[in-house]
Amino acid sequence: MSTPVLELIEEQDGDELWLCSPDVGLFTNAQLPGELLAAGALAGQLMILGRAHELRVPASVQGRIQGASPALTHQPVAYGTRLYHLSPLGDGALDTPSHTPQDQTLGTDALVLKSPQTGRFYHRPSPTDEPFINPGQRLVAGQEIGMIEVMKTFTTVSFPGGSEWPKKVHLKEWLAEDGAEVTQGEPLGVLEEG
Amino acid sequence: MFRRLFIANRGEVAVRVARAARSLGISPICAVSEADRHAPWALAMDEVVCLGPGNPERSYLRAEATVQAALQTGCAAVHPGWGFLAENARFAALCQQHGLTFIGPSPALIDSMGLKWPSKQAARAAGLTLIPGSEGLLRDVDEAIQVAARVGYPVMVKADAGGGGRGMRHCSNEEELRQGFAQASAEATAAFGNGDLFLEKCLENGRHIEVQILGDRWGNVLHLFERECSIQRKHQKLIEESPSPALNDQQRQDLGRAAAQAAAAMNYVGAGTIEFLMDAKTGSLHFMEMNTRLQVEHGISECVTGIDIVREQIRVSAGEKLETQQADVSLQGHAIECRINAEDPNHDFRPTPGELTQFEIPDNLGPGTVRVDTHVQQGDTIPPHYDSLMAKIIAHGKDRAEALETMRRALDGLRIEGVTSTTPLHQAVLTSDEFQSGTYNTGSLPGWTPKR
Repeated sequence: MSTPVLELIEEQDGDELWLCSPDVGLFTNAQLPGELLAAGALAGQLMILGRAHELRVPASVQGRIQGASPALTHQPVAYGTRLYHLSPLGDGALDTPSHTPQDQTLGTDALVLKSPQTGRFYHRPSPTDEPFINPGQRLVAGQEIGMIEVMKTFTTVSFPGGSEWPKKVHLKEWLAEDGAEVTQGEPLGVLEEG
Repeated sequence: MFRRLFIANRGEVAVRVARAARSLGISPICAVSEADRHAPWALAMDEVVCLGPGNPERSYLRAEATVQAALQTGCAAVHPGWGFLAENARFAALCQQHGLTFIGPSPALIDSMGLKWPSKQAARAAGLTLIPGSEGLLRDVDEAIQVAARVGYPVMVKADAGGGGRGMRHCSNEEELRQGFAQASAEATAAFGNGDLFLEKCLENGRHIEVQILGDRWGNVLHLFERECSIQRKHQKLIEESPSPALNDQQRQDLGRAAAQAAAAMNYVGAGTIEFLMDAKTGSLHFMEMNTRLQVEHGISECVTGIDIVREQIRVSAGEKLETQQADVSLQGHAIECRINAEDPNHDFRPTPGELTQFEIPDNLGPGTVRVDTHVQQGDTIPPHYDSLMAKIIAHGKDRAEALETMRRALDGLRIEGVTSTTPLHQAVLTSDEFQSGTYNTGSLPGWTPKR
């Protein structure tokens, strides 16, 4: 049986952004202060009559957890109890990617690889490994180019390839540094035909 | 005895249960919705747990969330009040599964009283008289016509799973019965997935008389005499009194004894009410239904017997014995209750939620005493999500005349502004000849003509 998922409730209180409990239960496996909560990410669990329910960040919200850490194990909460106090990801970071400064300088015809998720972008499988790819190298469909970490879960980012891209293409330059925080849709790197 | 009690309800009944809990040294913890969390009555609880938004489907009616809330606040028992989850057998069973005492009878008993025909069978087995009609569920329309010919028209066909007036048809002759049978069956199938029907003779202009029951786990059952509840609008009670002016002493004793014996035969534990319909022509009393919960109008029985029903309900659920013997229960005067609702009696009782800019209830003006059960105060906003009851005014006198005079003075001194209330209707009904003489019935609201 799959774990049921409940969506956290967004509460805007003046300048403050909170994520609140969607039900009555015991809150456990909370994320720690300083961690990034991305839209759609899972952020802790609510135990209701002994059954775990995953808590999901709503699609409209992302930010970094600030403030004191909530009690981590089996804290009783009610509907609407504030669980996470979020700070937005810095100026502009929450804007839609098409308005980011990088995007504007790239022009509309630039070949840009965009981030599929909000999280931390890594060029290497681990800090001691070689990068997946270096500027100047050719890309083929399905090739791994980096990893995104969302709440300690790593996902590989691959070059999709296909008809939207030139037949032969290489990485011109990275826009997101190794270990950079990125938001969903943010440009990671620029490609060039040839 | 329990240390903490979870109240799975709101408003006036939550306040009433909290008062009884405190009298037993129990800490009251209450469910709230978002619409209620800052209400003065909620703030008076020892703790509240918000179950969800104002819409009761998303808060007060949520069985799992309620049980979780009771468990995580360390409560040992759950009082469901009335309405919401009070007659929900699944909720009662869920409480038991999680080690909580549900303050009410067993899930099986709630279940059997919730279906119309099984409840009638149980009542007949326990020795009560049913309304003349079909022996169980009807096979087809031909059987319905045969039964109607035997008991006489008008008749009512009713859905076994019915409720809220759906799956019910009033039929004055065979032609109407043929139509009504098909319509009621189709309606009940659509609404409840169960098209089974039974038939009863229609006892028009009868009186609604009900008996208060209390039972413990030791086989003791008491009745606290009857309540007369014939002043109704759209099947909702507006004015109740105890004792009923329609019964003489012998009838009163007989009815109480029959109801208590029936409850004992069901091994009834807790507070319950057996409702009867009095035939206007013959004066005989017929079982209608049993409510397996506290009733809104319980206060008048408390006034005339001196027994705190809610306190007893909690005590017997904790396994204690009833403190009183039947022989020690006696009638002490007469009590009348008026329900002050936020609704407009001149416009088909439409609800009038809004801000209560003035709400003053006079001090006891005599000659008897006045009890007010309420959860609202001046400045409150009556939310649109819940029922319209704002306060119950109970006048208690040494006899009916004194109770009536006490109520008249209390209503005259009542000051309500901001929302329209049922007060003028109460004043009109209480001064009508029918009410004064005690000869009213469920057929009309005597003395009241809506102004347009």
